[in-house]
Amino acid sequence: MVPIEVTKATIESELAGIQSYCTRHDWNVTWETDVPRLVFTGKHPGDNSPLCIIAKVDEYRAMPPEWTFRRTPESSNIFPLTPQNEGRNTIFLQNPKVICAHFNRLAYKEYSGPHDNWGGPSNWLNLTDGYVRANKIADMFAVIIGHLKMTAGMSQ
Amino acid sequence: MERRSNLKEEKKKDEGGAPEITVVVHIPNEVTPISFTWPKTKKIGEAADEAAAKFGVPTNNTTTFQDETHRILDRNKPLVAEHVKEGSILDLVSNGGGV
Repeated sequence: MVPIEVTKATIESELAGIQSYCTRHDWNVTWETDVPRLVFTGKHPGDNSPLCIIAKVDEYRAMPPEWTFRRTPESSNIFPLTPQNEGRNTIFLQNPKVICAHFNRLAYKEYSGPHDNWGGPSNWLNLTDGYVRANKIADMFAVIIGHLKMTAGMSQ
Repeated sequence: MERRSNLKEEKKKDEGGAPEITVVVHIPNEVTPISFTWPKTKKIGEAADEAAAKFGVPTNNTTTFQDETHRILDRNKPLVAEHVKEGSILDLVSNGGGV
């Protein structure tokens, strides 16, 4: 168990970078310390529709965040449409609808995801070459935004 | 004759722009960027690896750039083919698969 104060300190050490990235790419970020989660609000880079991307960060960095998409912070989950990705690998698995990357806790079997071959979510920082690599929140968010750019919009 | 051919080359450079471009590279997790000057024909992957080394971050064969439109650039293409130009602001990202 990672004490909440440790998680908060870790997130706060990354906040300047997160905010700097968000400013460059026209997104806003709110750090909700009580949950704890980061709520990113902006526009889908494909269709400009309003979008929230949530990173639930309890146990971070012992465990990766849980990444989900919504229209507003309290609405139900939605998911990107199948990417028009010019043949490149996508991180958006459609069945089940989950971001398939080492930095998403929900990709692991232990959290109802498809991956039982990544050594469990506590192994997330040790995955080998070939997979997408993002070990800090801003890096993960940048990857997600980049892959969203290859989609036409969201499921709802 | 020599003067005419030099003028032709100057015109070509002006039409295509300088052979090198200076860009600003960020790491998403950090606030302070670094500027780089590269030939336009340099491959994205080589430039990204060079930038990662300068920032002191490890790379693998997925390291690339994201441009100001959020697009993740193709490692195998030259900078100019991916519309990177003088003054472009880039973020260093990974484009490996995960599925």
